Amino acid sequence: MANTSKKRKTVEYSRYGYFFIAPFFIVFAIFQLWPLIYTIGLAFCENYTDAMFNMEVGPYFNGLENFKTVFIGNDGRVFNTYTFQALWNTIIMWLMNFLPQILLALLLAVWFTDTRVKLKAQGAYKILTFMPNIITAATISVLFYKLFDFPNGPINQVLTNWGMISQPYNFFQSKWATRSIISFINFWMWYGNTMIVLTAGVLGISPSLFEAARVDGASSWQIFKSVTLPMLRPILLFTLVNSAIGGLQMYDIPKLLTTSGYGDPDYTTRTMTMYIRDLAFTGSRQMGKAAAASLVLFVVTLIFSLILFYIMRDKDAIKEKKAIKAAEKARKGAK
Amino acid sequence: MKKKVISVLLSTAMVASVLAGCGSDSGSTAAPAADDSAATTEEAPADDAAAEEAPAEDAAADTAASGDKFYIYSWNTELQERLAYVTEAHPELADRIEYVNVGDSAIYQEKIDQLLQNPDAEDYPDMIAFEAGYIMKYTNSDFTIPVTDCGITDDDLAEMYPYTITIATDQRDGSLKGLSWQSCPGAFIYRSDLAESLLGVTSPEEMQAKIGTWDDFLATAREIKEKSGDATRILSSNGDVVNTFMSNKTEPWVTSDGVFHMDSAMEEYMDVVKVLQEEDLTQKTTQWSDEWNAGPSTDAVFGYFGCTWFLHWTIKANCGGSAVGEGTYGLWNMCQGPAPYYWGGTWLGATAGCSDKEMAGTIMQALCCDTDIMTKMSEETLDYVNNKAAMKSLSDAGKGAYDFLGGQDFIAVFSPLAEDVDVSWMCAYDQKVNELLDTQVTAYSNGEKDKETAIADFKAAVADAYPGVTVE
Repeated sequence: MANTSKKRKTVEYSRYGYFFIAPFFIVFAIFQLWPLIYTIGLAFCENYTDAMFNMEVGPYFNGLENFKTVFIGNDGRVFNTYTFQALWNTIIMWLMNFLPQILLALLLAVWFTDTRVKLKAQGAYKILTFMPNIITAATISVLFYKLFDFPNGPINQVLTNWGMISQPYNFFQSKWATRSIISFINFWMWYGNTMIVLTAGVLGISPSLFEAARVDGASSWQIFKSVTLPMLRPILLFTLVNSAIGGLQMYDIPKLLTTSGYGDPDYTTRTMTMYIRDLAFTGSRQMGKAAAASLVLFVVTLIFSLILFYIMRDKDAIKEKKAIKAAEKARKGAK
Repeated sequence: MKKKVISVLLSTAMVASVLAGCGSDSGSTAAPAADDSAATTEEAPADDAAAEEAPAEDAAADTAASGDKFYIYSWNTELQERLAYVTEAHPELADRIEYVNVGDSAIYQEKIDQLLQNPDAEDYPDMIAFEAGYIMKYTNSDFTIPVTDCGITDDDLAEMYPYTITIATDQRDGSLKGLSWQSCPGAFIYRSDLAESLLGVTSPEEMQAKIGTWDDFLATAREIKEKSGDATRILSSNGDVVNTFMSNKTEPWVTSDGVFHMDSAMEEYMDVVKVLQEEDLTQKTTQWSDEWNAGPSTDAVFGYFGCTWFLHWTIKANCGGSAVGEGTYGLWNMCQGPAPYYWGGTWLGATAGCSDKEMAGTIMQALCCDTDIMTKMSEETLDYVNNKAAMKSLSDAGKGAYDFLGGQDFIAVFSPLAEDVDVSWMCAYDQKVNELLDTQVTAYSNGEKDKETAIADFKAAVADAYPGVTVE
């Protein structure tokens, strides 16, 4: 008995850790990693089902053909394709909802955490701002669809009764009206969420910094600019990247809000994910082209995130690092 | 060592359970991921410790599929209600039929396409329903089998309207792949009281003379708008006219050589919609919206383009009453309108992996061929059934006089129209191409682009959706 266990004197618990985390990695590999690799592979293949005889073509390797149709339009102009139209739509609607959203959320977060302002009934207000986020996107879409209904929706009735417009206006046949409604819904749904994340970030800043600034006679704006914002950078970066990824994958609201679900009017509210889905599951079920469009979305998301990381980088820390390196070099040189 | 075995078992069991749970809803979201997960679901259990259980489950599923359940897929409850007539005649089938209502015709094809990829799945459809807009995609493929394989003979088809057979015939080898129990010729259904007060028209024949061509139709539309003082419009939505134009194309969107054709009838359609929009001749609602559905109960809408089922389930259902004197019940009439046309209809076909072809044949025979059952069905549901003998006997018996139409005989109006339906313009691409066209027609009629741009954009959209089609 004693002899057999001689080899291992101590019990190694560490390897059991691998067994416990194994399920995650197995599930990840099957449901995320493999589909990802498969998608990249499909993007270089011709694969669609023609409706005429419901026959699947491919997947055959066809090089960069899918990317050619994604990037170059019928008239030979680069980016003049439905893919890039969908991408612009997505970016426009994301910016239209994200810029006001982050500004309002930041403002509210600062107000709620300001020890001098001391707003009353904060809890109630926080619940109210977070509420739209709890309701499902489908419900909200139907709600807004009914509100802006033509010709007898509540908004049209109110506007005509107040004499602001003489004729009912068909909001969903105007691209900017529809885009604005979609952006507003996203803004309204998510500013509460962003506010809570930012509030947590502000609360994480040491109160002594604010006190010191105030003792030195800094104004509220100066405190915000020179204390809150720099200290909030990591949280802001997280919010920005998160929102960029979420925003570029916008799907539910534009899909459900418009009548046909194909981005009325005239595809001007069709987002990238809606288009990818249309490619892959309607018409010819073009898996290859859909995969190529997905990769475009992936690369764009990556670029956006990298740009954000670059803009939000901690310049002082980098400077400090450089200074330390330089100092070390100088010391070595002196030796 | 023992612990190691246990932990490996635990983790594989966990993975297996996760995989099993994902099988049923793998079809909904991410693009290629859905197909992959379905594929891996089948393979994965074979590799791990759960292997002993998996085959047992499969075997159970197989016997269940072939022995008991007979899956029939459709997108609403209509077919389910009609199947009651089948089970009445063949009570032994009632327990085996598993009717799956997908619930939304917009996602029906996607759902069916995925199911057909997996012949071994327990819920693989034995029979599927098709709509006219995409039936050819399935009948022209190996996913469906000829009805003769199910025991349907030429005698069974004798009383059917020819167009219902033409549509469901495989264009490759001429075999018939689906049957329909209904026939859906269309007419213009209008308010007889408004016709009298606004236009001085007292009979369907006079009305027909006023809307015999599209020019007459638009002139009458202007007259109605003017005489009613803007209170009444001839149609509810601009899109209401679409089916009449679709049925009058001279060739299909995509001919058998895979070439796309823009028919001149479609340009006329764009022009008519443009006039309707610009001169404010309709209510400008959207088809099937609440506003649109509310039309029949008010005096705001003069008429609708509707077919057999439309008359009963759309206009009558929304007229605001259920007997003469209530709402607009009894105040309607029908005439042919500017052009004969055809709209909708449902076919039923057996799939390649159908577990019980004999049963499929029995259901099709009872539902679509049996004159007695179909006569009864038509009498009770007012469906215009796909059986000339049944419709003739009902008409002869005076069952066609319809109090909703003020006593007008709806069978007498529809019968000659059903005989004349021409479906040479149909193709497997219809539904999606019509959707793409609708987007451009809306943009054109709203003045956002001119006709050339709209047509060019339409062609670009078709080319984008169908890489296999040649768009010049």
